Formats: sequence, C-alpha cells, structure tokens
Amino acid sequence: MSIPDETELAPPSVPESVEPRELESRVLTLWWITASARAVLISTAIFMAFLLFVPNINALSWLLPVGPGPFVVAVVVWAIIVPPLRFRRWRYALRSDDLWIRQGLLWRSVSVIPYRRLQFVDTRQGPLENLFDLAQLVVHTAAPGTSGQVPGLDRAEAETIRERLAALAGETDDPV
Amino acid sequence: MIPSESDAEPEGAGPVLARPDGGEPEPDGSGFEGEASPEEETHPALRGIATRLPPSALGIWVAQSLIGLIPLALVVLVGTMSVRLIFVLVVAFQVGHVITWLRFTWRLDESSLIIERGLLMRQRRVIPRDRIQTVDLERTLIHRMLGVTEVRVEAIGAGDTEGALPALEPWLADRLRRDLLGGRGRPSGRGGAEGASVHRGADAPASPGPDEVEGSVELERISARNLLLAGVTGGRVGVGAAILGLVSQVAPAEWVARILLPGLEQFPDPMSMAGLRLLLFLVGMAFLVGFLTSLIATLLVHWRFTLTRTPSALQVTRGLLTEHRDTVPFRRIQAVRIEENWIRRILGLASVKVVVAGRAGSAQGGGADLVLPIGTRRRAFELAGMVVGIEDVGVPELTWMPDQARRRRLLRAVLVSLLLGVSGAIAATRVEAWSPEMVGPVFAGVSLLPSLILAHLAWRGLGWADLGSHVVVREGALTRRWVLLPLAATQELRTVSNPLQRRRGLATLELHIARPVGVLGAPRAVDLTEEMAGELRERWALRLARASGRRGGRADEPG
Repeated sequence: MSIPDETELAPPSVPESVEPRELESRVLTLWWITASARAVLISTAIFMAFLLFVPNINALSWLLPVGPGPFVVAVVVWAIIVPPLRFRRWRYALRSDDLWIRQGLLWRSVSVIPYRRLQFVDTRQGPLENLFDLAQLVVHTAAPGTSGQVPGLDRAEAETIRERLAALAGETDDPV
Repeated sequence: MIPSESDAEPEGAGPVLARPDGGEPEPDGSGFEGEASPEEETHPALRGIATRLPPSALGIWVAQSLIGLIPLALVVLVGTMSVRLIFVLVVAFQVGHVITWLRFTWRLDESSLIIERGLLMRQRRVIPRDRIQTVDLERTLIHRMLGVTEVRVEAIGAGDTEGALPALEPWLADRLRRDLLGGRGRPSGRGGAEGASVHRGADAPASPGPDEVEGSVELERISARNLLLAGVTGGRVGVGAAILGLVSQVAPAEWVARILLPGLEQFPDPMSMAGLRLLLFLVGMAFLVGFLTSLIATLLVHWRFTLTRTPSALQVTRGLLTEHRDTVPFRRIQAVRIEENWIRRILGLASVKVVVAGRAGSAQGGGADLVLPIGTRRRAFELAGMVVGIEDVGVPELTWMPDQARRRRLLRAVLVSLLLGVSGAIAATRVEAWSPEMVGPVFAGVSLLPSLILAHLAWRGLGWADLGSHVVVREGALTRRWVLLPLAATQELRTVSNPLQRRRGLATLELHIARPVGVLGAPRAVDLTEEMAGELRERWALRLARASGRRGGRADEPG
C-alpha cells in the first residue's frame, strides 16, 4: 500500500485564500422578484385550499383571513429573508486548477470541479436575467448529476469565463 | 452474405466441463470463438460495406415472437379467441420480422460502427470507436441452436444498449469485439487504469487482432461448489422473499394456507398459538423459496464464471442457458466495488464489481459488472487492486469516522424506537384487547436494542483511506460496500452537510465519477468532521489536478 506523498499536503490550499467572489448584487433583486412571485402563487393556493376544504365557509367567514394567515406570513417572510441569506452564502472562485463553488443554506455544499474534467460549458440567460444584464454559467462533467451552476454573473463576465473554461475544456484528457 | 454454417453450435452446447485443466485459456470452447477461414476475414461489413445480418437473425426473431405467442396460444386452447385471428397475428409478426431484417444493415469504418435500420423511420446510429465503453457477446438458447451470437455495444449516452447486433456468426462477433475495443484507443492519460494491465504481456500495446488472446491470463474460475456458496450466501434471497410477499398480497393468506395445508378448515386467529405457528410456518416457507430462487438464479447466471485478463481489458464468460462474454477495457473502469453482506463477512468472503460509465442493464449488477461473484476477502481486494492499477492493496486499513457520527446514529435509533412506541400505542387504542400503556413501551423497548445495534454497525461500516493515487471509502451496516477508485477518475469533489450534520460538526465528501445513471450513488465518505472533509476535498482535488501534469500551462489566476 503506497503512502500518500506528504509533500503534497503541505499547502492545504485554503479555498478562501483564493479570493472567492460574491455574485453580482443585482441577482439579489432578481431573486427577490422571483421569490415574491412564488410567494404570491403559494399564498393564492393556500387561500384556495381553505375555500375548498373548510366546510361551512360562510359561517366561518371570519376564519378566511385568519386561518391561512400564519401560512401566508410564513411564505412571505421566507420570500423576504431567504434570498439575502442565500446570496450571502454564495461564493465562487476560479482557482488555478479548478472551479470552486460554495452554496446552500440548509444543505450546504462546496464543490470543486477540476478544469481538466470539464466536458462543456454553457451560459444561460432567462428573460428576467436579461433585464438585469445577468447570466448563469453552467459547467458539465462526465459524471451524471454534476453540473456546477453559477447564477448571477454579469453577462460580459460570464461570457469571458465561459470562453476561458471552454478553451480549457478543449485540452482536457479523456474523461471516461 | 456469409452463410452461417456454424461449427460452434455443438461446442456451445457442450459445456467446457470436459476441459482438462485450469491453465492458460486457449480460445475456449464456450461457443464465442468460431473458426474463420481466410476469405471470411474480409467480411464486407468489416470493409465498410453495409451488410445485413445473417438470415439466422430472422430465425431468432421468429423464435422469440413464437415464444411470446405461447400465452396467446393457451388462450386459444381455452377457446376464447379464434384460431384464424391467431394465425393472422402470427403471420403479420413474421412479415414484420422479414421487413426488419431486410432493412437492417451494419458496417464498420475506420472510426465508427454504423447501424442503419427501420422501414419508415430510418434510424442511422454512428458509434465512434473511441466512445465505446464495453462490448458484450450473448448467446441465448435460441442463438446457440442457430449458431449465432448477439453483440451489444455500450457507449455513454442513451440509456439503453447503444448498438445491438442481434445475430452474427460467432467468429465475426468475436472479431468485431476485438476490432472495436482493441484498435485506435490512444493510451489513456489515466496512469492508474492503464497500469492495471501491467503484470504480463502488458508491455505490448493494446493492438487489435487475434494476438489479444495470446496475452490473456485467466484470473479466476469459479467452481460449481463456490458458485453454490455464492448462491447460498447471496443477496438474491430478498428477491424470492419479495415475490412471495407479493403473492401473499394478491392472494389472501388464508388462501395460501389452504393450498399449503389442505387439511386446514379455518384460518386460525393470528393472535392464537395455532395462528402464530401457522404464521411462522409461512414465513419459513417464504425464506425457503427465496433461498432456492437465489441459489438457482446464481447458478444459471454465473455458471462456469471465468474472469480473464487480456492486455487491455477484463473479460467475463458465464452463463448456463444464456452464455455471456462481457469485455470491459481497463481504461473504462471508473471504480471497483467490493461488497460483503453480513453472511459473507462472517465467512470472510466478498464479491467484486467494476463500475463502468454508460452501462445499460444496470438492474442486474446494481449498475456495475460483477467480476468476482465470490472469493475470499483477500482475493477480492487483490483483484480489485489489480483492476484499478495498484498492487498489493491488502485489505486497506480504514480511518473510522469520528465519534460524533456514532452518537448521531445512536440518537436517531432512539428516536426511531420512540416513534415506533408511539405509533404502537396509537394502533393499540383501536384494538380492544390491547392497552396503549402496555403496547407503546413494549414496541419501543423491543425495537430499541436492534436499532441501537444497527446504528452502531452503520457507524462501524463507515470509513475511508487514502492510498495516494487511489482512495477507498466504505459504507453499510449489514452489507459493507467498499469503493476503491483512482483519484484520476473523479470528475468533481463535493462536500455537503445538512443541518443535523453541522450541529455535530460533520460533513460528507462525495466523489463524483462517471457512472451509470440511477442505480448507484456517487462514492462518498459519510460523516467526516467538517475540517477533515474540507481538507480531503482540497488535498485530493490538488492531487488530481497535478497528477499526470499533462496540462503544463495552468489557467490564469482569476483576475
């Protein structure tokens, strides 16, 4: 059994030392918009559910604003506070050998995707993102279910990164 | 078209039992090799000319559809369907087969295997050689009667078998296999997997052609006795039990009991002694049936299991009714799994599977190909190490997960028992004879010890080891699943933690490899300390990036 080469361990290469970057702050506004849209939808659904499933709704009409109230408040609060928390958690770094991504509020994750494992690199842009001049970077490897996504990049920036990573992906070794 | 006057058929039918020794395998008599005369060497399809399958392919389809029609024929016998209708159906099927056959062509050019088929919807599939993962040969009973072999080519992409040639002459099938796997593969950058073949004859580059057979070494041959052992200790016991469970769902237990015990007048109250005895009897029967199913299935599927190493690939030959010869190139192997269920662990036995990306038919092998159905633990690891290119692995000594990981599991076990107690108490309120105050604690108490033991075992099953170029991770409470993988096979390293893990400062490190979608999860080290998970992620990512140094110029630092 070969012993790991300890010299390799010498620089523990702490990710934070490679200046992880935040997303563009504009993406926070965008997240707020999508989150409130979702909150409105969910609240409506909750109201509908009450209308449908609470019997004798007339006799209990006072319940209509009160009953769903807590749920709706929860949904709204969620929509307000989660995006900034998510934003604060989000970091990415283009390190010398790999792409480093930190994300997730409850289920936190840190992904490291070596450049030499890249299969292809996309940028994506929805209509809303277009409005904010933002774009999403998506990198794919040969492993199923692994696509690193970095949302909320400045569009020009995203394109630059994509080109750079795509060039790297071109010279990768046989992945599988 | 080459007429398929196959001499392979008698050989195929006669098992190799007659083989005198267990020495170096010649082109063995399993029916996968046929004699090729010189003019056959220039089969048109191999020269890039679109060619139909031999007419016997038609025979296969006809036979398969006839077998499929047997249930229908039974319906006729019972008399609910007119004979004429059946006849029309049968004829229609056969005409369909003829058309399929006429429109099915294949050829091989320098870079790809090309299969064209379909009448109205023409399908043309081009599989580049360097995308091919594995090539499997298969001979069902029908194939063997007609003296042909089915070729299945797997690549990454579509979920099914990417290229299937339902029937070819045996020599041609074998030739095609070697041609597809042997040629043009540039030496892979993955030192590990290539190094795997170093032992004997590995200095010769993987070249196409018959010399591949010469460099091959038989690694393992599972005797009938060991196969029996594999069946007895195998995991297929569950399958049989599940089938019986299903039957008992469909058919009421009373009914089953009547059949099994004709003398029984009335199904006894399950709470009474007689009822309990009957219940135990039925459970016992379930186990017995499961056990026998397991045994027979293992024997049929792995009969005469032989593992051979050629300079560039692993080859498995097996099967009693349906003969298989699966070929997996070393450079396509992403990881090896060593599995020990609890019975096997007691006996010091294990099985070995290889993980190959894009493998179809994952259900059978759990998404991986079995290369050793059963063997001693030491042998299993020796083989596993050889496959991924490290010598002398031994049984790796693992680092255990921290004690927080155990406490987390123990707490969970206690909570589960409490939950069981509560639900038992709730259930008891509905049964007059039971009192919730009694049943609740009894449920909780009885389940506590087993779940605590399981929790401890689950923790004990966890572990990891760093072997330099390779990594070992292990999981599993009753069945321990080791994964041994070359670091170079990882595509992404990811640490994840949920709130409960973070409360105890734990995290899981996932090593994502190219693997079949679905069945298997990524190899992972569960419940490392957060610091350790982060450190290993960085350490291994760095080692992976610097490994072969093939890409000299590094990317620019982020600006």
